[in-house]
Amino acid sequence: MATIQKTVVSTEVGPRELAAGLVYVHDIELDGEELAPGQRVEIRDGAGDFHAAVVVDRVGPRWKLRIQP
Amino acid sequence: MQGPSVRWRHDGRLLLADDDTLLRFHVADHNNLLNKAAADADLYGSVLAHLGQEPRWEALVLSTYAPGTAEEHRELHEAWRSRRFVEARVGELREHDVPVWPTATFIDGVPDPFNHIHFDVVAAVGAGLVPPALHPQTSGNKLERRQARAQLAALIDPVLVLFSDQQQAL
Repeated sequence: MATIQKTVVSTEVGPRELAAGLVYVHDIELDGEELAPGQRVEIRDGAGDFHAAVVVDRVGPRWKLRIQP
Repeated sequence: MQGPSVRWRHDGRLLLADDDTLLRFHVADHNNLLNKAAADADLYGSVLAHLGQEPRWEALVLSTYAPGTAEEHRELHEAWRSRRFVEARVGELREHDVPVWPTATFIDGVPDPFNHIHFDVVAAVGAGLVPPALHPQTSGNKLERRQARAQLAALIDPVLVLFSDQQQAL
C-alpha cells in the first residue's frame, strides 16, 4: 500500500491573494520545511480551510505559489 | 513588481474617528499570526520613508480593515470566508499610543480589493525586530524558533489584546 504525503503550508489567504491567484510564503512561515518549483502543496489558511496550490518560483526569501482553481 | 508590497495610502478612507472599529480576520492560530507579522516586516521600507523614518527598519503590524458601512462589513466577511473576527476600537488604540497607518497592499502589483479601507495597526518599528533564529539565512532549530516567536509575541500581544473576539450574526 502506498502512502501519499502532501506538504501543508500555513499562511494567510485573503481577498488580496484570491484576487491575484497567488500566495507568497516566506521561509519564516515554513518552519524549516523545504519547497521546490513544480511541487504541489496544500495551503491551510487562518480559517482552517485548505487551498490546493503549485510552487511556481523562488523570489528572494519567499516562495511564489499559484492557487489552483 | 514581483512579490508582496505595501505602500502608504493617499486615497480611500483615510480619517478614523475614535468610535470607528478595525477588523482583523484569521487570528485563530497565534503561531501563524506571529510568523506572518515577521514575514512581512521587511515590506515597509517605502512606508517608513514616507514617515521620515529609516527605510531599512522593520515594522511588525496587524493588517486590518475599517468598514464604513454594513455593506462593506458584509463584503469583508464574504471575501474572508469567515464569520469570526477580532475588532478594536480606534479610540482605545490611540489611548495606548498604537499607530494606525492607512496602507495599500499588493501581490505582484494586484491590489487587495479592500485597499480603500485597509489599515495597518503597528505593534513595533525598529531595526532587528525579527529574531535571527527566524531568518532563513540563520534559521535556528525548532526550540530556537519557538523562543524567537516568544520574543515577537512580547511585542505583538500587547496590541493584540486590544482586539476583542467577535462573531458575525447570521
